[in-house]
This record gives sequence, structure tokens and C-alpha cells, in this order.
Amino acid sequence: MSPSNIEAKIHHWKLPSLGFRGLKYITPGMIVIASLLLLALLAPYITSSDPIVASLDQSMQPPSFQHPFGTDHLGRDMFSRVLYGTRVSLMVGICAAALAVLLGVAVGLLAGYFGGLVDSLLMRLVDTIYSPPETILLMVLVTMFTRNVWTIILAIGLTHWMSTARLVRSEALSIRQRPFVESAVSLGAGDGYILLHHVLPNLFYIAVISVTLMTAHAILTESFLSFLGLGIPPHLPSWGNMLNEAQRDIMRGIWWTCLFPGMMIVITVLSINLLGADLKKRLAPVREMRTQL
Amino acid sequence: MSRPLWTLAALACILMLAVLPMACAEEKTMNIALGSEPDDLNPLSNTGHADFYDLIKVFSGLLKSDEKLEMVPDLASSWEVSPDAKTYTFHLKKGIKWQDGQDFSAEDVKFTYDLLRGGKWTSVLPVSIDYADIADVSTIDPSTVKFTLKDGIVPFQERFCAAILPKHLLVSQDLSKTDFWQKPIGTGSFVFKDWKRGEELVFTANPTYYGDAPKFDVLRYVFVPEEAARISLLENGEVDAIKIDPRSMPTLENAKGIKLYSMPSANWYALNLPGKMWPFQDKNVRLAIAYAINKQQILDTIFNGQGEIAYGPLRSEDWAYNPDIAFSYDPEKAKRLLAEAGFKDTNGDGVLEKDGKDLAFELIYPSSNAERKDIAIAAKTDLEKVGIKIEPVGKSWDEISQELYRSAPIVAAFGSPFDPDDNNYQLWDTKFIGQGWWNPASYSNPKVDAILNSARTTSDKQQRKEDYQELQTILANDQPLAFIVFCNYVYAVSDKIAGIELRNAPHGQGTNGGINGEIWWNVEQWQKQ
Amino acid sequence: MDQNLAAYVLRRVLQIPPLLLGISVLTFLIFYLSPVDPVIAYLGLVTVQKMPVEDVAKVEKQLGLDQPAIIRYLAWLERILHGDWGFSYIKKRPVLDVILERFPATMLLTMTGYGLSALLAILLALACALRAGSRLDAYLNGMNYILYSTPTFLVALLAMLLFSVWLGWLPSSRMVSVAEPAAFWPNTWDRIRHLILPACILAVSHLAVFFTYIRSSLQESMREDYILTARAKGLDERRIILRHALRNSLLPFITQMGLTIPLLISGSVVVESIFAWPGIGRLAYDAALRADYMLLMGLTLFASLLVISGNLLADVAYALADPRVKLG
Repeated sequence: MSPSNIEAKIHHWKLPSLGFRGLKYITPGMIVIASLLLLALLAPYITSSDPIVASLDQSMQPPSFQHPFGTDHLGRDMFSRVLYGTRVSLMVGICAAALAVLLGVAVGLLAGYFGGLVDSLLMRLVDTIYSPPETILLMVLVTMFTRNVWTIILAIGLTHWMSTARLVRSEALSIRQRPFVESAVSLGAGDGYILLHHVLPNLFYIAVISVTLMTAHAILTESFLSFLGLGIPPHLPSWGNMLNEAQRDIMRGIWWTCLFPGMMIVITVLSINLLGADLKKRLAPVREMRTQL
Repeated sequence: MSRPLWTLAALACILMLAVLPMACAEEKTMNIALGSEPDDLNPLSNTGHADFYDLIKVFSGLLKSDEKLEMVPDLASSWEVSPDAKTYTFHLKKGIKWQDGQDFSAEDVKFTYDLLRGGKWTSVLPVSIDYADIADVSTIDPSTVKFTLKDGIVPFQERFCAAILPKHLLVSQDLSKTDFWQKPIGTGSFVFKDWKRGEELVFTANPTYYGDAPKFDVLRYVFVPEEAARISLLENGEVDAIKIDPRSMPTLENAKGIKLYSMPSANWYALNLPGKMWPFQDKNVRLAIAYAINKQQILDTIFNGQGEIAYGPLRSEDWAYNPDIAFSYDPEKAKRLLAEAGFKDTNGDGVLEKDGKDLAFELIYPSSNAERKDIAIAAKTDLEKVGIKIEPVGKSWDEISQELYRSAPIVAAFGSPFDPDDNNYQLWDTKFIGQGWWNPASYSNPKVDAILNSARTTSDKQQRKEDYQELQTILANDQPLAFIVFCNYVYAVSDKIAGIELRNAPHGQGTNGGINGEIWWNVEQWQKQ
Repeated sequence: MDQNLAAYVLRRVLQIPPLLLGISVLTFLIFYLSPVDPVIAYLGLVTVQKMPVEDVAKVEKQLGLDQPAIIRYLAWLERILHGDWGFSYIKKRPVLDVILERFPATMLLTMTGYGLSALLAILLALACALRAGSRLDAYLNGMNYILYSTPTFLVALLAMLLFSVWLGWLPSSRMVSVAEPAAFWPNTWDRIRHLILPACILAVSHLAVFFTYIRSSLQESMREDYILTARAKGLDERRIILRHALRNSLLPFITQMGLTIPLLISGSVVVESIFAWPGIGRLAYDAALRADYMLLMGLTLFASLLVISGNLLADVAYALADPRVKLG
């Protein structure tokens, strides 16, 4: 039983035809993500508290009507911090994932389609970057180049494109050998045309699934980097930063500075993963992909 | 089947052996959990005074500081200072031996101070800068050393706390390549035993020590960066003393068998307002910032009330403290000062402007110092209420160059528990503008220069006290850096430990606990009951 | 038969040098492209600030910084091959010494965590397979997803708080107690007690990946024809799963284990930092925090070497286990 079947037992709404072949049903995972995106976009309107500004006289207040998630040690409203943190995490996650998948598709496409020397070289490159453990490579990149949101996105993107590249490569390889491509070649179509019009559309589903799963992974990575103090600058709201500051609070029994950011991370990543699994089930009948999470 | 039975029996035996009472901690061990591991055991590797506050226990100096931060003899048995403060003569104790058995003599003293003043080894012994004032060192006989200074600087005496290095081991060695700094030999109360990197550093009591023998045999520092882990080690009795963040005090307040100590430190935090940068050239702007920041709130929330509000660079523990410089938090006065300086909010966006420029700037904080980050955020809130907009920017220490320190507003920290000349001379005198980390505000006031220079060459203590009090009055009115608070260092110690003495601590030790400059400055005098 | 095996191993081993070269180029490239001043990288900002300007120029000459990139790369490579991996300015000792000193601790932790993780994953997957379609299966699947979506540091922090600080069952940090027992058995037990929590966290962090893999691998094996035959023959379901399906799923699992070695070392960074375990993960964290570039570069190289050797071992183990390889 795959996880998506669990959802099948809970809810499945049928939407009037949206025109998108693969997606006839809405799942809870999708709802959660959609609401998160909405919350992130509308954050400034939902809460009037500035997540960076402190009010020291309000320090360490437990959750109340005024502060639904309580306040932290500087009196900052946790609810608005978590909300703004959603923005940061989603932005970093999506951008890094997009970058990674873009690179992965480009490399995989070239390697799979052209084969031969190009393939060898590119796959050697993939193997090379796969070798240093991801965390260490990330920490090196983040330290060697300045530390701000954009370098983090770049670093995460540059270290995560390899799995997509491998998938795309094998798919491109098999597509290239299919009859319709062969006939296109014999009709005199150039490589560029074939790549754009025949190969790429068939890789679309890999890209979509990869972006989804990669976003989840990127959010986890960013939160881990921020937790260690190597990620988003500490005064900005990010779930990882908040957990870093919350470490001390837990010892004193102050649970709200830790619970809410932690919960948000798990809920966000979980729903993205569920969405990804669902997409995999519906868009990709390939067995190979199913053995990976 | 007998196989499972055999396995079970074997397991039971192992478990029984394991549950045997583990060797309980020897009565004679002192264990301290440090949050930061020293890079090496070089006693002269800092430009700060933590190294003179208490040396790494392997070493000793000519003098040392006692619980009142006054100079008492250590390797020397007595010393004389000439009336013009230019000549120091030290009479060394007899019969002192290095920990490898060699005899200690005045040759070692001359060797060490020649290294320091020679200027050749500034990268290995950065504190050398403080010794350039020595004109000559000479050994009158094997137990007498005479120093001649270029100028009669009264506070120079403190610098004779420097650790003495063994000539017979280091002469003609390349100090930057030797492993002496990993396995030192000194004349101090403890002998280096073992250093397991990342885990622990072990010393044993020196049997040939010339002073009072330590009341325990083994001194062990263990390295535990996580505060929660340190607390847990203390609570189950594995270590005897730890340093904690003041905000963690409530966690241990009612813990059994543990006592909390809040030790004052000379460390003050301030916002550096570079005097060459707009708008900080105008004194009214700096004063406004000082009035607009709610220092009591910062002290209470960020430092759990442990410390003191800072209006100038000296705190109430200091003998030269001027109690009359205090002023209260007054945002209305801040607004008036800014209006006087010509700032108005013409476009209604809540931010004041003058000559078309917004009163807005970036405030840098070192991203690895949590308390400085918190100060930056608190300052942002407070200053917004009077119409100043700040953007906190976090930079790691390797991005914060000395250049940056003097050209951008930054949350800075300085302070020394020793003679008021220390730190203050370098921070406020005109000739230090542009030198390293000193005088970051590029402050230049001829009156202050005069006071600083005359106070360091007078031996009349009353006169010096008046001078430094005048200095504090001027600084409080000028606020070249907007002084905020002095923090205390908080420690949790097992209540079985006796011999603890609290005294004003040096700057820059954070909340992790290092090997110097902490409450365990006199650990050789501690004892466990 | 053995000839084929030997040929396979040889082929695999020959693939390594170009990979190592690639890694060295990558490492050097990062170093070269970074905006950090190489002298500062070599000696540390604090030291350089205290040095007079002429000395800085001397160091620049010494490091050959005025030469073209290729020459610098080759010189650096030569130094690496001769064991000079640079000088760590925060530890004030050669990089290689620092790394090798901390390496055994990480090996102990990761091997234990790895083994526990694999064991647990296999047991859980078997449980799912034996009771396919039951609530246990669905429950485990759900937990698996949640586990996969939880950051390791959160799990580590909460576990440490629960088991060490509040319950006091297990030590919260270090490899061994401060008052280290002298006798052998109490000492070993003390070390085991300190190993339990970090190893379990590491195991749990990896569990989701292993569990998913084995589970789907098992499921696939169960669909094979020979299983149908076995069932038709009337063999007990349990026996089928344990004797046949499991064995065949374990084979690709070995390769999977090899492939996830980088993740293991990654995971050790967090676990070692939180539990004050003196290994190379925590070393990497210290180096990153204090910007010790030479140490970081050395760690990248070293970790890559570990990963490559791990992969090689996994492939050789696979080759030994899979008769198809032996027979060519």
C-alpha cells in the first residue's frame, strides 16, 4: 500500500474538469500547501506585528488571544514570525528547487540525448559532485562565499541537481530510441528541434515531480543551515533560526518558541512530500521512480 | 535449545559486570566544562587582558593580580619602582624550577621580555604591542631583573603579569612552528598532562610549585559547546563548574547542590557611531540615540538583569567610577535633540530627514554573538520610536575587518577590569584613530587627550581618580559610542566548592566559558568538600 | 569464476583515480573562485591583521599566488599527495593531523548508526510484508512519511532533552564520562551508554530512506514468478518472505547502502554538534563557523575519499554476494 492509498481512504474530492489531464482530484496535501502559500503571500495583511521589531516588555508571554503563538525572548510575536518564516522558507525552497531542477534537466538532457563523450563527461561530473557529503559541501560553499539568502539558494541549487540529472538522462536515453524520434531524425529535423518539441515535453512530469520533492528537501536543508547559524542571517525570521533561539527556552519549560516553528517545518515538508508522492503516482508509471521516496 | 540460554547467560554476566559501581570521581579532581576549546596553550596569544587576568595554569609571571585586581608578587618576591615610574627592579624568588626540572632564573625573564619587545614574533605573541615601551631589560644577577621603560607610564606595572617562557626550550626555535604551544612547560601551579582534542584538557598539580600547593591533584577541562549538555553534566555531578547564559538562570535557580554566581565584568556593549560618518558628526544625534535606547529593558530582558547600565566605559566596581554621569531613558528628550539638530519628518513616513537624507543606517552585528544580535534588534525598536530607522545586518567575524569597524555603525564591545588607562587610552586618544580595532569612533578631543596622557604618568592616585572621573563626564556628554550596558558573567557551580572569589572580569568572553578570564581564575585555590 | 570477480573489482578500482582527480579539481575550484583572500584563507584573518605588510607579500610569494591557476592547482595537488594538506589556523596544527585524530570517533558513531538503521529498517519492512494490508502497515507508512519530513536536528534536540535532561537515563554529550572508569568492563559500558543516544538518532534520521527502499524492494520481489511457484508449491508465507524474498531484496539494498554513505556523514554533522561528539562532523561545523578554509577544504577531500571507499566496498560486497557477477 502506498501512502497515497491512505489518503484514498480518507478524502478524495472530485473537481469539475480543470483541463489538466493528470490532476482530477484534490488531496489534503495540496490543500495544506495552497493555504501555506496563501498565508505566506498575505502575511503582511494578516498580522500587523513586525516580525523583526522587539518589544522587550512583552518578553516570553505564553500563547494568548493577543499573541496566538506567544512571544519569544525579545517580545516578538511568534505568530507573525512563523508566518513571515513561511515566506522565507517557501521562497528559498522553491527557488533552490527550481534552480536544481533546471540544471538537472539541462545536464540530463544533453547527456541522455547526445550520449557518447558528452554523456561520459557529464556523468563524471555528476559522480564528482555526488562524492562530497552534501552537508559538508554546503557548509563549505556558504562559508567561502558571503552568507545571504541568495547565496544559500545558489548553494542548495548547485548541490542538488544531480539526482534529477540522472533521472532525466535515463529517460532522455530511452526517448531518443523511440520510433517517433527516429522518424523525426530521418525527416531531417535538427537536434534542437527534436529536443524542444519531442524530448522535453515528455520529461515534463519528471521536472514537476522533482521540483516538488526538491522543494521539501531544500526547506529541510535551509532550516538545518539556519539552525546551525550558517544560513539566513539570524535576525530575519526563518524557522531554523527560531529553533536555534528556542533551544535555551525549552530547558526553562517555555515550549511555544520551539513547538510552532518545528510543527510548521514538519507540516510543510510533509504536505509537499505527500503531494510529490501523489504526483508520482499519477504522472509517472515508471517503476524505478517509485522505489525512491 | 541451549544456544539462546547461553547467550542469555553471557549477556547477564556482562550486565552484572557493567552495573558494578563505576570508579567514583576521585575526591581530588576538579572538573570544569568549557564551551569553547582553546586553540593552543600559548599564554600570550591575545591582545586582550584575559591572558593577564589569569594565565593558563601551567605558567606564572613576575606579578599576578589578586582578588581586588591589585598586583601581588608571583615569581618575584618583591619589586621596586623608581619615582618616575621608568625603572622596575624585580627580585626573584629562589629555588624555582621549571616543570621539566631545569632551574628558573632571571635569564628566562630577560629571554621572554626580549621576545616580546623585539617585535619579531607579533603574529605568535600579539600582546607584544604592549611591550614596545620597554627600552631595556637587564639581568643584574641570576635573581634580579631590571627594566627600563621609555616613558614613565604608571599602569605599565600590570603588564608584568605576562607569562615567563623557558629559555632553554625556546631559544633559537621558530615560535610559529614549535609544538611547545601544544605541550607547554612552565613554572605554574599545574603541569600539562594530556589534551584530547575536542574532548578534554588535563593538568596535574605541580609537585615542585613554589607557592601554595593546590588542594586537589587533577584539573580537568572538558569541552562541551552545547549549554544544555553542560547543564546536564553539572546536574549529575560529572563536572563542578560551568558558565551559563544569564537567561538560563531560572533553569538552575532551584537545582539541588548547585549555586549560581553572577560575576561583574568590565565588558560594556555600545553602538559604535563613527564620528566621520553622517549623521554622527553631530553630537546631538549621538546623544539622542543614547537617550532613546531603553537600557534598563535591554538589561532586564537580554541579560536577565545581570549587569549594570553603562553611561561611560567604567562600571561601579571600578575605583575610578564616576556615579554622577547617569541619565535616564528619555525618548522625548531624544526627539527634542534631533529637532534641534535640524531633523524633521517632512513626508510623514515616521522617519526623520535632513537635507533630503533619511535618518537611516545599517547596524552591523557579529552573527555568532547572540546577545549583540538581540541588542541590535532592541535598538532598532527603540530608535524607531524617535524616528530613526535601522536595518540590522549580520556579518561573520571574518567579514568584519578593522576597516569596517571604524566606518560603519556596529554593535561593539570593549572594557578592561584593570587600570582605567587600559583600553580607555587606546579608545579615546586621537593618535589611535585608524589603528587596528582601536578608537573606532574616530574620536578626537584635545581635552581628553590631555587628561589621558597626564593620568597615565601621575602616581598620585587621588589625582588620577579625578582625572578619570572627568573623562567619564566628558564621554557621557559626547557619547562617541552610545554606551548601553555592562554584562555580568553567570556561573553555576557545585555547592561543595569553596574558595571562589568574584572580581571584575575582562571583555569578550561570551557565555560559553573559556580557559581564561572566568570565575575559575583562582582554581588552584579551590577545594571540594 | 573468480576471474570474473577479479575483473569486476579491477574495473571498479580503475574508475576511482579519475573520480579523485575530479574531486580535487572541484575542491581547488571552490577555493580558487571564492572571494576570500587566499592569504587570509591560509593563515586566518586574525593573524593576517597582526602581520606587517611586507610579511603578507612574502607569504603571497611563498604560496605562489601570483602564478596562473593551473600551476597553483598542480602545486597544491603535489602538496596534497605528499601529505601536506595545509595548516588549520583555528587548531594551529596540520589539517591532516586534525582530521585523522577525529576520524575514528565519527567512524564509530556512523557505523553503529548505520547498522542500527539498516537492521531496524529490515525488521520494520518485514513486519509490513508479513502483515501486508493491515493497520500496522498503514501506520508504519504514515510514521515513515512524518519521519522523512522531520529535520534531524529537531529529533536530536528533542531526544536529548527527553532522555538526558528530563529523564536522566542517558548521558547528553561526549564519548565517555568525565570521570572515566578505569576498569575495562565499566569503561566499555560507559562508552556504550554514551554511544546509544547519538547512534539511535543517526539511525532514525536514516530510517525513512532505508525503510522505503527495502519495502518497495520486498514488494517487487514478492511479485516475481518464483514466489508464485513457491506459493503454488504450498510453502508457508512466512518462509517465503524470510527465505526467498528477503534475500533477493537485500542484494540491491547493499548497493543502496553504499549510495547513501554521503547522507550518513552529512547527518553526523548535526548529531555530533548537538551531542558534543568529537568527530569530523563537528570539526566541519567548527571550521565553517570560524571560517577555517584550509580545514574545510581538507574535510571536503577527506569526506569524498570516505564516500568513494564506501561505494567501492559496497560494490565489491555486492559482487561477492551476487552469483550472477561471479559467473559473468
